[in-house]
Amino acid sequence: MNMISNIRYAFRFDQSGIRKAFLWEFLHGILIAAPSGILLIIIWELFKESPDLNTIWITLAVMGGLFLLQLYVAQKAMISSNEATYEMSRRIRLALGNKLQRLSLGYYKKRDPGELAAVVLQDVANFENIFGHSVTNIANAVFGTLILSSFLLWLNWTLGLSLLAALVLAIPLIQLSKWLVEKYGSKTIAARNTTGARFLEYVQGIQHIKSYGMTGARFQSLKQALSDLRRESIRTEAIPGPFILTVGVLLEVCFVLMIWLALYMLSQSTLTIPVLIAFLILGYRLYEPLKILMVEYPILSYMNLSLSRVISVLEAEEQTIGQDLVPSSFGIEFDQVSFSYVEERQVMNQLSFTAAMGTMTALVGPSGSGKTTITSLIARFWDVSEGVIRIGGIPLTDMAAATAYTLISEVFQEVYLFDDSIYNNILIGNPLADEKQVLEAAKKAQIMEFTDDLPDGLDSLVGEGGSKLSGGQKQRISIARALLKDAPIILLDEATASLDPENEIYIQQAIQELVRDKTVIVIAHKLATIQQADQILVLDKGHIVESGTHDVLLDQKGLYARLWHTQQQASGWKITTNKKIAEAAD
Amino acid sequence: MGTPSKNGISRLLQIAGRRTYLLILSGLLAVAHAALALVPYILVYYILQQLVQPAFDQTMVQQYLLWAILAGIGSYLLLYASGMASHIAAFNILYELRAQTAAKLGQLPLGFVNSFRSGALKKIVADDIERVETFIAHQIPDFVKGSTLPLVTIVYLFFVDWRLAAISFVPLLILAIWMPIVFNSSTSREMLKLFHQSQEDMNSGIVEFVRAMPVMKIFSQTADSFQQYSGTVNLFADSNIQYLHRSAPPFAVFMSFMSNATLPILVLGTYLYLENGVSFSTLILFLMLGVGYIKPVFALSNLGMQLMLINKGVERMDTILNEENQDNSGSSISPSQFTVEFKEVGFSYVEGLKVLDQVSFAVQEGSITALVGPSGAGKSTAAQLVARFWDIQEGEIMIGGKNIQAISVNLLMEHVSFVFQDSFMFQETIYENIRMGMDRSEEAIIAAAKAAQCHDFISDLPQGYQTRFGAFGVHLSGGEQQRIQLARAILKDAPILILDEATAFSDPENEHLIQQAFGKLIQNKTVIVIAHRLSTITQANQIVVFNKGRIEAKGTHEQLLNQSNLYTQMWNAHIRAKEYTIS
Repeated sequence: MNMISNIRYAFRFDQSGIRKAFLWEFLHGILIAAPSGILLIIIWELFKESPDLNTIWITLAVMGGLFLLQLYVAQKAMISSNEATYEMSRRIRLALGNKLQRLSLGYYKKRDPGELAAVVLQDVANFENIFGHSVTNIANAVFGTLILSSFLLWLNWTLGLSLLAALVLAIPLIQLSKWLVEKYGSKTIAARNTTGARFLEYVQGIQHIKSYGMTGARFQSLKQALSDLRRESIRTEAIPGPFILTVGVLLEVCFVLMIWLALYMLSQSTLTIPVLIAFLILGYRLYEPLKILMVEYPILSYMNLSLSRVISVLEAEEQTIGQDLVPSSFGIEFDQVSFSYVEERQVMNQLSFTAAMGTMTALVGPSGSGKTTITSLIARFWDVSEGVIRIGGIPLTDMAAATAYTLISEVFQEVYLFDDSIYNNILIGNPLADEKQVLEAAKKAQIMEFTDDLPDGLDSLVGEGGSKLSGGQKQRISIARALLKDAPIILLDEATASLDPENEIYIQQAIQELVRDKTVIVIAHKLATIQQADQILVLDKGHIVESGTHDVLLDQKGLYARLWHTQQQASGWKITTNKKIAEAAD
Repeated sequence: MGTPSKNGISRLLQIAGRRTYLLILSGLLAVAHAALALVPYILVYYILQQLVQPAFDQTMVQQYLLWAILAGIGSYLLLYASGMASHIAAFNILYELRAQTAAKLGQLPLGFVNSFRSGALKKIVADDIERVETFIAHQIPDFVKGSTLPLVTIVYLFFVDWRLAAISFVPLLILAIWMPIVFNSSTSREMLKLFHQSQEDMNSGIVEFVRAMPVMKIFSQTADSFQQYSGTVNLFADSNIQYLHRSAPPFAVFMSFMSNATLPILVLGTYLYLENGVSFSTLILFLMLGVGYIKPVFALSNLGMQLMLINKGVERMDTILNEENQDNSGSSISPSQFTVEFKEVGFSYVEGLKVLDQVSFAVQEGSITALVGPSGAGKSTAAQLVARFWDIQEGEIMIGGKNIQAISVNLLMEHVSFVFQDSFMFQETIYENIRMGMDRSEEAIIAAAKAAQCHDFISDLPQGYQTRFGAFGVHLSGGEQQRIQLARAILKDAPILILDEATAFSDPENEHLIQQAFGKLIQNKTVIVIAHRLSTITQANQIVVFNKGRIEAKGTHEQLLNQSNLYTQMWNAHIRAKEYTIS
């Protein structure tokens, strides 16, 4: 995205602060340029037949005064521009925090949480650090050039223009080198990505690589990628380099040519010695800002990338809410629902079903058949492209996000635990619950089974991300939360119970407690677990191909019956070298 | 590698030492560039001097102008050459460090590598090592240039006129003494500490806020968590601003001294000139050169911050490079039979925390031994030890009566296959993913694929066996990848197999296919299986029950049902779990 418009976007967060900062930076710019002017006045004076001592000492005294003034102004400039930067960052962070609360759950599914945290953390910090540091340099550069060039043009416009000509001539060179940097830079980035992928393959697959004795061959291909990266990196430095440096040469040459012209004009008596002196002393400094900009530019474009990512989060689309209605019953209805994650690939086409309040509906089908999509749509991770989903007769789009969330509890494979006690992690389910309620939920979720062995019981800490607990234990905490929340609708992935096979029984018991008297939608893998469902929907490629109870579906002898029989066979499986038993199970 | 125990700047210099000559060349070229960069100042000095001469020699001046242009071109050519020398050195060093780190990872115990997240390792090799580039390609030449040139200039100026040279030095001296005092004062240090503390708080606050957001939304608690978040954000901004107010005055002094650095020379110079103490041309020389030389010195002032960052990266790299290689000196004579025996094995990942203690059991050639126990009991660790993921601290593990530490890792790997829960696919063709560099015929590969129940889905892929996996190719389901992994193991045909039984359940819809593949794989092998679902291993020749790192009981399924309480409990729970239906 465009750097100027991005920076202006950021400025909106503290406009008055930015205005104040520019004012002080401008004043400071004048004071930075002033000593060159003083130097000039003194040299002019010294060149006179009889230098006026008073003028010299007064000028020096003025310089001393300006020095003292600068002590004050520099402070003001630094404080105001950095304060504005910190204020913008603060407000951007708060705006991001606000925005993150409003984004749909689907947004969090789509983006890697680590990457999203990096936007709030690293990208804002990049803006803060780089902008805070560069703004002073750039302000000085811009204001300095403006003041200096106006002064020189006023003294002698011919010489002034011949100096400024260098800046104009430099533009195409800068454009060209920018283009080259981007061209070769993108090759380097591609090489870097390849290296990264090769390296990841190398470390992630290292046990496989080692066990097949492929360390040598794999290492060679990684080395080849590293060597390509080395070549591309060197080329990215080597090829645009001469063009960037030609800008420097151009400035030198223009300065010398200006002197040449000045000396000619002097011999023609169209130039006075004091003006010549002014150009000799100040002329070369005119280029300093450009040099500063050339140093700052790559850092600024790095900052701009960060800023673009921040803005893309701030401007991410939010789900709209029509009327703010609250349902009073909790049946679920899919009415001609179509949905696609990406435009052209529809994963669900005009799907309709109803799950009556207080009943259990099981979703069955091969992977990719749309089971997870259905639960995601009920939780409004995504919005449907056609049709309506209703809870208690009210369309999801006519419910405030907060309303919808209070209606639904999910028990899926991922569990987020806070680095806190087990007790407080359960309490998340309902912060207003008293101790008795928490204990009851913990008991029902079979948590006591493992906390009784812990020295601090429910007050034991779970570690970062629950690192001190097994998958099944974490799962039970998440079920306890859901029990405490007591939402009327439960979305469940049956596979969660198998996460921790040693503790399967406890999770099963916990789930049993949770689903009592609720409207339940369960994604089923093991058909045996859902035999008692009130309704089984058999899905294939986003369509409902069969529906009914277990017995009805078995009688139909369709897809469900086929799946059932294969699974029945598989469940008797035993690891054995005894052929007879293996074949019996086959 | 020399002694990698060094740290800080000396470690960086040690790294740079891999390309000493290129870097010296780069430094010399940088100095030459900087010297030529003074030419415009000298030119102005020369012309100013000529202007006061009664006989102003225009042609002479024009000659000088020509030289000045050549000097300008030369100066930038030198800069380019210096930059290229340092960058070539830098990128070669990066290449070597990366290759060395990767090679090292191949030599370390598997367990060590697996104890890192792969993303963390990638960060070390990609980002942390990349930072060394700044030091070698930029900071070394900058430092040489920034320190030698001012030194030469000041020495020269001292020869011309020591009084003016001395006074030109004053601002630099004041700042050099005063700045560290200000920044090292106790209040300043305390504020800096507060600043870092509030930054850390905010950072962990942000990470938690973002990661917990989905949960908070579901439980309608976004308002509370936002309050916490905004608290850390505000505290950070406030401490930032507080520190700013503290550091602004010294910075202002610095800026003011910098832009008025001519003042002392002007005052003393004018005075001396008027008193006939110095010539006009000397005064001009000082006004031209006496200020310019200070700037590069200050450019060095933010070197420290960057060095700190680079050092942190290098330290992380060194944690890998300094890790001891796994001893691979063992014999390369194959054991003649393939029994596996644990003798009084003790093992701990961290000292003092035993994961396995006095573990002894023997596995007969061609038999199946199942390792069972509650999660965290040590069964997976025990299985990994057979493949020398880690080397044990106590006891012995023997294969065919030979201590595995006396067998080279490469040879051991030839005799042991493992099939774990994480299958891994390379960005290669399916064919190569099965072949895994083994010297096998196409028929053998297809036969293995058929045995592993992969042939059908592979044949359905757009280019069959030649279809590339990943990036621009196809993706396979977890169960399909798992079966490819089994095909590899079938093709390898190693006499000892270590399996995780959970692998068979990675794809509930296709369980029976994986089970068939398993059945083919384990025929006539010595098998150690990490078992979670007890019903799958009731036919094992031996079941070893682990509990808290020790062996609780050993025997067949029937024996254990009679002898072991723990096993009976686990069995009952498992049977109930198997019969589970949601109602």
